[in-house]
Amino acid sequence: MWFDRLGFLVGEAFTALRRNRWMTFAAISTATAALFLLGGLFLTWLQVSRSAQAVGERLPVRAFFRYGAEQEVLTQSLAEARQIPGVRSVRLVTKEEGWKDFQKKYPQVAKDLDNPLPDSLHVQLTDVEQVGGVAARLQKLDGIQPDGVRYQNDQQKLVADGLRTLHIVGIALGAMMLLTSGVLIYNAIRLTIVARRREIRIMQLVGATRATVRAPMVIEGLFQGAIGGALAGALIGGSVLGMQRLAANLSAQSFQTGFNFGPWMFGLGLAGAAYGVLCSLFALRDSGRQLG
Amino acid sequence: MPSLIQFRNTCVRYSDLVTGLADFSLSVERGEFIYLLGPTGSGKSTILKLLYREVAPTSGEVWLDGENIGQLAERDIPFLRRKMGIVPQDFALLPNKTVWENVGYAMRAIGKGRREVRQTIPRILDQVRIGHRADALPHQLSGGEQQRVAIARSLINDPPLILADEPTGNLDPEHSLEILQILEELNSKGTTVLMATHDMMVVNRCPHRILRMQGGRMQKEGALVV
Ligand SMILES: Nc1ncnc2c1ncn2[C@@H]1O[C@H](COP(=O)(O)OP(=O)(O)OP(=O)(O)O)[C@@H](O)[C@H]1O
Ligand SMILES: [Mg+2]
Repeated sequence: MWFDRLGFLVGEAFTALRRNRWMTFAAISTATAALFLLGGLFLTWLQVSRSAQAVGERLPVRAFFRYGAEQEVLTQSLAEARQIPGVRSVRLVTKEEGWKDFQKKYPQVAKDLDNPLPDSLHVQLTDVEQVGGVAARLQKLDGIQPDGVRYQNDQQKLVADGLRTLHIVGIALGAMMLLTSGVLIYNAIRLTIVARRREIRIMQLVGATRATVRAPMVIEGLFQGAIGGALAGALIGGSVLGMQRLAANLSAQSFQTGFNFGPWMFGLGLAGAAYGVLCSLFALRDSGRQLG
Repeated sequence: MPSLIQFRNTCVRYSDLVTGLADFSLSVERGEFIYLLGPTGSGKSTILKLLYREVAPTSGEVWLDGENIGQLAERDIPFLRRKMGIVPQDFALLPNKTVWENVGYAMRAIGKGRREVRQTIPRILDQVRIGHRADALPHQLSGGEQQRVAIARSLINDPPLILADEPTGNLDPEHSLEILQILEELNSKGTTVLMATHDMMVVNRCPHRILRMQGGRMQKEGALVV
């Protein structure tokens, strides 16, 4: 029975979608574009924050002691370095160990030299974003030589800043498109209300409830938003797979490719549906006069 | 048992200048057939609209079946309308739906299932003698036939009350009498009928209780017209 009922209301909504087909097309495609952009940004943000952690693990920060720093100073500073927030781990590398590593890496350079290295701390970060603060704290530790803290500062910062700008621009653009798609859905619904004024009048004359009169328009908005969202999810998935395949081809390596289409299409579809319903509720509110 | 309909000093003011109905009182018993007779703008439609609450009284009361419907909440109005059949002044048919679909659409709108629609429509269409044109579109029908479809649609709730607003408004005498015959048939089965009209021919040929309206007031009441 309820199924039969829903069938009638959905049928009404689809008649309207067909009647407004260009409006529907415009509304769905802008909703798709907006949610593609915003969803894509969310995905890259996830990826970047994950890889930022990975870089943090790989990129060590080194703090060099002044020459001849005493053993107590070394152990004391090592302990203090471990307390700095943002620090994952610290290892004390004595000048002998450091020199051994250096000789191994650059035997040609090292063979005619005496060990020129001081003792140092090798610090692993939890998150590259924090490198500046950690470096400043390390510099203040007892026994560290002036300008004794080294890391690949500039390059990292450049990449992070670039990404942040890209994100802000993308979010602004996505928000604009989302607004546009909302206006299009809103307009489509208002057009439908005008086009369906006869049907609405008849419904009211024979005693259809307020909910029944309004439901087809809400379903129309819901459908536009949901399809827009699901399409955006599929497009994001397609792009990810495309890029992964490209990367695999370029590096001539076979690495794992895959993308979970289901949750993305469902999640964005749900978000789009909620947005579509919101837009149609606004349209219904503003068409109060035609709806009695 | 109270009267089916009671107006008690009902006033409708559309604005400071326009009065739709002034100090109107009336009782209608079950099974009556009543003409609301009067020139254009005399308040006939306003009376009907009060009964299906498209209009609310500015003052006074409107009672239907023991309920003060002047005070009805917005969300209860649909259920009020299911207790009556409304035949609007225009036919209000859907131009791209057939006779069958027009009636079916109204039934679906008030939550009737597909099965019930299939089973009920033939009987309703036969009642107004339009069954043979079930597959026609409104523009393929005569004015009288369109009016019969509008009446058919008003019957979907099996209403004890029919409100017909100038159902013979644009019809020639022959088709007008056909419509009257259908309304009288319904009335003879116990349905109360309130019909707005300014068609003297109809009133004279099919005599019933008459309320003469003029400028939003009841002028006089009588069963016979000279
Ligand atoms: N929605 C409205 N807003 C303002 N004035 C209205 C409205 N509806 C009716 N009126 C006015 O109220 C008065 C009574 O109108 P009503 O429609 O009841 O007359 P009527 O007897 O049905 O006329 P007709 O024979 O033309 O249908 C008229 O003067 C009309 O102009
Ligand atoms: Mg009228």
